Amino acid sequence: MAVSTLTRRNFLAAGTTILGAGAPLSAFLRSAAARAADTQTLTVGTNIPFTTLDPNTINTSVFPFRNAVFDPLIDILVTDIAKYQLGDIQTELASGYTVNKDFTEIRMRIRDGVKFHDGSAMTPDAVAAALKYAIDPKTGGTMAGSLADIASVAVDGNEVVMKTSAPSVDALYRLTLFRVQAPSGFAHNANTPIGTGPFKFVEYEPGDHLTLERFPGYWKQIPSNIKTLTFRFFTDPEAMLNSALSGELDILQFGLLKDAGALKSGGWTAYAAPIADYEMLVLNYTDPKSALGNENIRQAIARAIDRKAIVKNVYYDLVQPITIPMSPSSPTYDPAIAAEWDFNLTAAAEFVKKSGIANPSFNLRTGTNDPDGQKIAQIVKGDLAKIGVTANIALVDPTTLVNDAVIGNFQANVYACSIGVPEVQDFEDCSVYRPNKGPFSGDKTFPNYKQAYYAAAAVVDPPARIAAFKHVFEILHQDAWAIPICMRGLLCGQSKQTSGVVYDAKTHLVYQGIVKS
Amino acid sequence: MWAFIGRRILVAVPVLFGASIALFLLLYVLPGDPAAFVLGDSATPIQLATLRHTLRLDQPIPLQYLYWLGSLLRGDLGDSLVNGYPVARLIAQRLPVALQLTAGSLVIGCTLGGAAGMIAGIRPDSRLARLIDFLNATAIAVPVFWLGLLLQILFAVKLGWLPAGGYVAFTTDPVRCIRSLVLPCVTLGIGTAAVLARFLANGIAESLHHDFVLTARAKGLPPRRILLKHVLRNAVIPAITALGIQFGRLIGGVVLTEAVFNLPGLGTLLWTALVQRDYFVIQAVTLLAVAAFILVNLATDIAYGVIDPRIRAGRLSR
Repeated sequence: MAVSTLTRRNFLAAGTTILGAGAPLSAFLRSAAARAADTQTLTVGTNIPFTTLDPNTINTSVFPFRNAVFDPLIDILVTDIAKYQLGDIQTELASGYTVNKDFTEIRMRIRDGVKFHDGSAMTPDAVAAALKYAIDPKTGGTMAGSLADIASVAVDGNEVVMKTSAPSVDALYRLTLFRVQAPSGFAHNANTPIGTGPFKFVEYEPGDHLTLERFPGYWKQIPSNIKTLTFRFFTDPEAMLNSALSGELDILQFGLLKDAGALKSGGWTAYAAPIADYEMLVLNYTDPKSALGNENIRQAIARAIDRKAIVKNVYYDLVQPITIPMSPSSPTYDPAIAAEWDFNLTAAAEFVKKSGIANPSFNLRTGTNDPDGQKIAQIVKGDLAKIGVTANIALVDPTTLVNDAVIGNFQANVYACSIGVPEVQDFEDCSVYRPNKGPFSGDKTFPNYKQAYYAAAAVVDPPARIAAFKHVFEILHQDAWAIPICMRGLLCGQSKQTSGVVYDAKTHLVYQGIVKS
Repeated sequence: MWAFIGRRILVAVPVLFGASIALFLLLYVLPGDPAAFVLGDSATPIQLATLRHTLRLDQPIPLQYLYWLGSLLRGDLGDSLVNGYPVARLIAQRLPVALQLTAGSLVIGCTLGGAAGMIAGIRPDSRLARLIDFLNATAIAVPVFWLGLLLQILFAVKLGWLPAGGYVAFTTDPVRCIRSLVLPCVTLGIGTAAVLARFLANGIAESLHHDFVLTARAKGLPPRRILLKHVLRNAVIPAITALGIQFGRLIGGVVLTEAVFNLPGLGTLLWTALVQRDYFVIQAVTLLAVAAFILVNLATDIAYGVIDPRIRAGRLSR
């Protein structure tokens, strides 16, 4: 039936015409893409949405933003990212500082001539107001906890004087976390913050993008050609990778480690930026129904985890395995102590035998949203089976997992735990190393550890301090119910057109000195 | 006609009301306490209790629903629990992107699907019709996110013709806006095209065997007129039904497509809100999607009435 004049010949002719038009179309589209290239705009793709722009919120995702809009009083940079090698303290908005002999008073001399983005002068009074705002638990967000040692802030001439409630070496180092914000911006700092940093706020659309532009009145010279810094938020890491590979991004931050190979093959530099997270096997030794109540079983498990296999299969060999709760770059790291918990199935089997428990088993939970944790649980289960210990894996929604962990309603969990990367003078407490039942703070919760921790914190001589903290971590590891597996890292990459990304010891990636060709 | 539309609207209102109750209750099935999520692990019991009181989470659920419904009717969708922005403002910012994506994908879907359906319907046994049938089956089977990633890799990463993601407003740069929407619209529109083509092809093939076509041919009407005026009018009704149902799939597809192409639309807003347990945003966006679905189905019903007077008169139901 001939109801149409469409024939195969017509169809093929139309197809040929379309394909013929494809070549000039391709050229047009490519030239349009080339026009979009801009050497003065740095576009950063990030896979973790910002929750707030308030610089007092300490959150990995916002660190690069904080470093662009705000400045610290003092800072420590990482001189070698892979080894996490730290440099010395350097002054920023403070032109100098002094600490008294007993570590109860810190004086910061405030730099002259620095202006906030709204044009107002950064005076000692403004810095003191920002500090008071930060240490107040009502307004200081998570920063208030980090600066909890600071009891008072006052202005003395061109100095801001901070007094601590007790001798505290850590207070100075924790000040590297603090960012100075303009008092005039306190009321709206979550959405339109005002700092002194090299870039000033322009526009923020939550979940989509944040745009910053170079602050012409910045107090120091930065050899960078970047005029605009844009953060683009991605919900899908694959989409972020494709955007990076198609040239739409200059920096990729916090991607998936599995994409490191794809980035490198696209000419990018890729590395795992260390984050203050360790992958842990957390054991609850107070549950009478669990074999984990037996110390020998716990010691067996600690030795039966093939961390190298986990690092290779789950983290693409981009992170470091750890057996003790400190990174290998930490001065407190002792290879001899660490080796005690190396993978050794024979020693592990001996501990199982010593426990006297026949067919020990326990429930091992991990998050439904945590593919890494699920793979780790499988590897752990396989290794433990070799020494006769059964781990029954269960996947649990993340909220329940965390809530149950807090109240001690679990036997064993695999998850990532936040832990401060211990540094020479700044040893942080890990929330994981707590008893299974509350209260979760105070001297009575974990007496041996707490006493040793406070004693070590009071030591001011560096070698003695390191030795004291080695002792703290030894106690921690012997008594604790958390077994470190490996450090974690988030994939970061930069295109070959960019150079100059530095890594800050406390606040991670810093883009302010970046150059784009 | 107006009475017909009025009846359909009256049916839609209780559906929307029921959906609002279901949606409100659904959030209570989700694990986790919104207050604990907002304040984090370090929150004290007093802080938690204060926030629960502020959010009225300490009230009985029916009362909470009434408060929510009251606010909704006043146009107050609440504030985001995460960033404090008014939810209405967040939706207003994201709605244009979602509408452009939906409209673009519908245009692509209807154009491709209409053309393919007519070609396959007119000559159902031809090789071309079989090829179209195969492509339809493939397009229906391929998940949206996977197709999106494939198109992204081909046209953005390998060929460099189009951006892999992101969005530029039409008012800022019309060319870049269109470029940014081509791949997402194609991704979302392909599935619609496949479904539409299949229904249209079947409808046309079936109609061509009806007596009225033979009569029209016997009267000497030109083939094009027979197709467009008589055959298509009958064949299009099941296709419209499919399109109405397809709209629900389209809403789900918008979420995935926006995520894959990093478009700042309602889909990514919903996705991020789900990840961050931003309850008020989840409620508002989902309710908007439900309302849109009900509206589209209402429009589909009205379209039946316009195309086929028998439906308008209610004869078919008798």
